[in-house]
Amino acid sequence: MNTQQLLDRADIWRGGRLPPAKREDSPHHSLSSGFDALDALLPGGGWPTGTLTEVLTEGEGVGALRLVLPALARMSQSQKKWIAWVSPPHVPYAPALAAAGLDLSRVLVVHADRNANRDWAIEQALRSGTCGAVLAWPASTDARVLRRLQLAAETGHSWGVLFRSLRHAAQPSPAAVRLQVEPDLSGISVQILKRRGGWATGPMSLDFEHALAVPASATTPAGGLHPGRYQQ
Amino acid sequence: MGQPAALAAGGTGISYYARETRLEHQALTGLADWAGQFTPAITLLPGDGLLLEVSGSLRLFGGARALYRRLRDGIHELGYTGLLSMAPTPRGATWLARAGRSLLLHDQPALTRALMELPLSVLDLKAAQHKAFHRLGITTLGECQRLPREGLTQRLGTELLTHLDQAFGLKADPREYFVPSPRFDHRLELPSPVSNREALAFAANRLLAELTGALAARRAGTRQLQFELEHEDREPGRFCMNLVRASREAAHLRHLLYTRLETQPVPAAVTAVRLRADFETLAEVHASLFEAPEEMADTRLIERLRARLGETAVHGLALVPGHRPERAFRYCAPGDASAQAGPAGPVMTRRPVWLLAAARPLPIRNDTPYFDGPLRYGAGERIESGWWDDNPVLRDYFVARNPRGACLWIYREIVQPRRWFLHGFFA
Repeated sequence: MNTQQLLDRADIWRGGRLPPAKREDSPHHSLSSGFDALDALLPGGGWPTGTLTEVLTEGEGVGALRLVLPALARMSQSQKKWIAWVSPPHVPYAPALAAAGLDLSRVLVVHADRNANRDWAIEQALRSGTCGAVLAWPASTDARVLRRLQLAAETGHSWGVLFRSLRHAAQPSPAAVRLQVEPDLSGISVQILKRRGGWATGPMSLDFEHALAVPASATTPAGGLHPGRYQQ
Repeated sequence: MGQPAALAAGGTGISYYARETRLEHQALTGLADWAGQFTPAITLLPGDGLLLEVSGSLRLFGGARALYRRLRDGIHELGYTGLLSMAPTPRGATWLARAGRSLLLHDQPALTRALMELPLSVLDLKAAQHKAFHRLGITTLGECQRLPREGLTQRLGTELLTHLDQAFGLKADPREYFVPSPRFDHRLELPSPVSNREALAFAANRLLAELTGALAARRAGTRQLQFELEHEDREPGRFCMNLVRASREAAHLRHLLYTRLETQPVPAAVTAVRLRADFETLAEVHASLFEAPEEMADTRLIERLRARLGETAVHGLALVPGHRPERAFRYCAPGDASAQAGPAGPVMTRRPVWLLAAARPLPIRNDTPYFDGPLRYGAGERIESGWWDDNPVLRDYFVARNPRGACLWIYREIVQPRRWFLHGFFA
């Protein structure tokens, strides 16, 4: 066995580098985010499915949804699975979603009035095995509930995206990836607070204007990610 | 013969009910519907039992012993305690059950031996006949069979003699078969009023088991289940479970029922539960079960969510051609393939990913619309549409940013009072 073979092994981790993309038999597959530079920082080279991703924001209209939209669009076109929205704060607007390449026939919008029902519905969707992704605005901040959701995502091989308030950033979380999202001039600024197999990163800027101009069915992911500086 | 051909569940064992003929008939009809999954040839023995002709079903269900066990366990699961005998002749099986025997007899010699020991009471003798046999010291069918034929004919009459011959397999025993109803409608009267949800679920589950049996018998599924919870002196509570796709999968239906029952108000003790359901041919669903298993699972999630959250809680999204922003989409049935279809009207250059269900008026400070700070905005997009109906839209839309960097979709009315509104978020 030469050094290269040794270094290629999945169970050998070199400092300063993320573990190699997981193999097929791993419970966690990954899904390109549509932003090259972000993929490079995510464990497995993309959004890890079969786990939770937490997107933390302060206030509305800051770009959290558009961060995951390219991946959702591609998923909707490659898998016959639901993309469930559990208790979204507003109407997910069909014209914009379709323009971003999302196949609307895969969309499932779930309205749950009471908080207990909301968390129940998120768990059902994650666990069912029929949702490729579950976008959720959980009511509970209880760590036990989050762990249940994480287990449900593993069971159902679903990508659970929890949109939560930045207030919860200090709380421990079972999510595989936690991101903080803030608006900036041309798009958003993303900071990875936690990722499996890697350290937190500093803020970096994602350019939406560029990313969304390309339909999700295109083979090459578009979009630029420029760590440490703002575009334009 | 030589093959087990008949089976009877003795009615004396239906201990769940008071011995009231009407109720027993209901229970027997329910059982008959359920038993239809094992054989189409079912005979009701009024107030007393069921007769199933199973010789044609043995192979399908893995032999007599396996079928016997399935029937026994199934009856138990439905909450009945029945006596179950399987024997080569229908009358033989009936008499065994009536005499309190639960036996599985494979051939005629075994049946003959068993019948010989049965008391005469299985014969429905008149008092005088009974006395006559008693005087002769005859108490079992075996002793009776040993009497000379002519004397027996005199004492029993030809009808009872025929019955004896049929039991022993000497004469044919044709039966009329139970005709299942075209729609499932069963009512289960509870032995005592129930207000506890678990007891209610148990009772409802019995009806559900009868339903899935009836569905299996018809190779059918159902798409709508209507439950009625009857009370002593108030209107019955009703609820309905709708399925996206017809199903007869017992575990799924039970799961839906329990989920639904959790939210069903039960204001008073329930005295009876009624379940009505339509039958729907399952042929296509069955085919797709093998072709696209994930499609099947799809609808099950929707049905589960609806059972708990309500029928209107789960939607799909579709585009609607038109200029008015709030009418450029609609909620539709999940998975509607036409969601994406049709021209989206004008090419919408910039539309927000979130639309507010109701546009929110924006305050004005220093002549500028304000949302967490003064809003900066560029060139507008004029939308004038809907003048032909009651909801005309006359607005100038702008993409705006506030000092925090949030990206908003706002509009200003073209006509007085020219108010500003927030209509969406680009995020």
